[in-house]
Amino acid sequence: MRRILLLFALYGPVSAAPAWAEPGAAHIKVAGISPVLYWGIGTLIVMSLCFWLFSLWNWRLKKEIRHRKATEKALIDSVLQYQQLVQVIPHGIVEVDRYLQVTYCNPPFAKILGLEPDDVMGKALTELIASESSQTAIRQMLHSVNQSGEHLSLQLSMSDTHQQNHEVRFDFGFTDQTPSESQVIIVTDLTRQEQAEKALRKSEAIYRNTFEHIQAGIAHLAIDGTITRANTFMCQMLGYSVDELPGLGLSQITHPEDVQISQEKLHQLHEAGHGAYSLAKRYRRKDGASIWGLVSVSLMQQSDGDDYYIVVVQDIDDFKHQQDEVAEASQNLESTVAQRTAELRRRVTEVEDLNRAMLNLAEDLRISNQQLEVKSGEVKEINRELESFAYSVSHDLRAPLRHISGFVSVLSDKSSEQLDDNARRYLGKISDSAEKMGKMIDDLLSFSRVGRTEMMNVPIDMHQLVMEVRRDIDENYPQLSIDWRVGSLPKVKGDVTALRQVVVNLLDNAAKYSSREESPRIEVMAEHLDGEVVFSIRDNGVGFDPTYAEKLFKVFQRLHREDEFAGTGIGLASVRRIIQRHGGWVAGESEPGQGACFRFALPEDSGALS
Amino acid sequence: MQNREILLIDDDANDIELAMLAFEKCQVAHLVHVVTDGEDALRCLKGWSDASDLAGRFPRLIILDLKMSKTDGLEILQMIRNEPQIKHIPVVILTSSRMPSDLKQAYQLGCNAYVVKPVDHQSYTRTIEILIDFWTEINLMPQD
Repeated sequence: MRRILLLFALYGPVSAAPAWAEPGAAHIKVAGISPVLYWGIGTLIVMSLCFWLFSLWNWRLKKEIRHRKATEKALIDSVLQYQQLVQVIPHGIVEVDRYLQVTYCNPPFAKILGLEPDDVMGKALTELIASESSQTAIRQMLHSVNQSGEHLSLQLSMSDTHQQNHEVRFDFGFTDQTPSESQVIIVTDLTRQEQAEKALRKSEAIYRNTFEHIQAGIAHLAIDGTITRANTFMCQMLGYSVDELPGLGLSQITHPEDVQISQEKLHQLHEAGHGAYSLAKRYRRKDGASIWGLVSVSLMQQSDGDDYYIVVVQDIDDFKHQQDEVAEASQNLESTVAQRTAELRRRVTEVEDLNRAMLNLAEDLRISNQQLEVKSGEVKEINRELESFAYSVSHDLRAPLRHISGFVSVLSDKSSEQLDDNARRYLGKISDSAEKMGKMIDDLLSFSRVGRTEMMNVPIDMHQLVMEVRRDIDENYPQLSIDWRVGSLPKVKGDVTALRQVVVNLLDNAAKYSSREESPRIEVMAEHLDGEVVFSIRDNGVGFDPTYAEKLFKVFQRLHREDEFAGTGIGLASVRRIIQRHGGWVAGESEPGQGACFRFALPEDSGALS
Repeated sequence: MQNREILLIDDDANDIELAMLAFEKCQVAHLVHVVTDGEDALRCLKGWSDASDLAGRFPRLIILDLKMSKTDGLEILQMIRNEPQIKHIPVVILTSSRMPSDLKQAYQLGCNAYVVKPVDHQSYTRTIEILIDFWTEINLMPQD
């Protein structure tokens, strides 16, 4: 109610009562009705009207208050915005009074001078500008502006506290009143602006160069996947000109098989709203060829909502092909290794089988060797026993022979007169027989030794050997003038003692059976035949019946009577045994009266000695 | 010829007789002392060896047969060579054996000669003569 009364007080002249409500209206008397009633009704009407007017007024008042509050707030906001703007604007703003004293300046202006706003406030503008000419120019300019109210500019130099010169532009004429008590000047630091622009240009150039010369494809894609910008490398990589690529969609430059994955990745990135992904994929060049690239995509969000993607592609086509080749080579290698391994395993199996077979063979051999050693031992034992037996026989047979010979001899000497011719002849026969038996025993012993003694294997000069034996033969048969014909005889390998016995036996036979010839002749020749050296001893003696040629080489076998040619029948048997032990052969050929030819062969290397 | 004895060691009576005939022919039969088996020979040689007063009567030559029924000739040879007082006495092996092993072993044990008895008696007699001549006349021995 107090508020209502107050409003009455304030707005009284406006809303005390409507103009048509004359002050004496309440006193009008209506015919037929009591004046009291009239007064009462009139009062009621007036009061209702007043109430209605009051409500209307109250509504408008509240509206007005709201409007004013909003206006005040807008004004305050505007001032605040202005103040903020003045604080952050990249231009210096300074207000000076008519004496050029600074009444206000924003931080950028103080910063141009290298000072704080508080350091500038209250100082004369001319004091802040060292150059007198500049001071003068400012004064003139302010005067002109005050006169004309036009916007004018002035460019001059200012030094900051570090004595750095700044080219600045003063813009005047921002005051409504002309002439005015104060002037607002906008100061632009051209040097800094220039530096900033330069830095911007440089930065822009750096980024542009990077963009254009980097050895990787760079492109910007709109959110829908359309290329908006691409660098030269990207264009070259995909075979397009710089003008052709922008405007193309992602699917147009992607290998058909990789389109889906590319779009899915891009979609996921878009959904996430930030981040990046990398993908190795195939691009499709303009000429239709595919090329491998390693792509990194980043989503760039813009405040204006115009988001885009930065796409960086590295050409990994060569690398990929090399990788494929390596993989192929690796696969080939694995295949080869597998084959070789299988082959090796097969070989190993074979070798193992062979080893097993060898082990079995070795075992068999060992057993055989053992058996052989046993047999060899047995044979050696038998040989020893045989030799012992042979010598015992030799010794024991020789003793009685010697006794026979001895006592016959004593008998012949001491009882000679008591014996007749026949008795002496018999004694002579007994003595000869005993001597012959002694010789047979010696020869048999010798033959026995030939079969058992170890054969040496040394080089033998057969020519020298034959010549030595020839000399002995000549000595043993001094009555013969043998015509020796000895050819070139090679060297052989064998047991020299045994082969000497062979040569002795054969040459002695040749001499013996030629002894009745007038001109006995003995030829000794040799020839190489089929890897053998064949020696031949030919004589012009009595020869023999070839029917019995084989018998010649048997022990005690003779083809001539003892009284024709002396001998025990052991010599050729010994020859055959010796030659056989040298791995050779011996044969005799003849015709009665045509002489005989004995040939024996030895292997050229004579490595078969047994 | 000095008054030194010849020791013949042989167990075969026939051989001894034929040998003695040969010695007679050489006129040394009276100097020959015969023992017929190995054990006798060892005893005999031991006696010579032990009896220092008989030292001067050591045989000048020992003729030794190898094959004997009891003690073998090689054993006797080894014994002789092991006895310091008699080991210097020349030992001639006179045997029927041509066994190389006998020959080798005999020389290894220190025989001075190895002679195989010839079957022919004349050769045998000649061999005995040569042996006696060489070992008793030609060859020099120490005088102790």
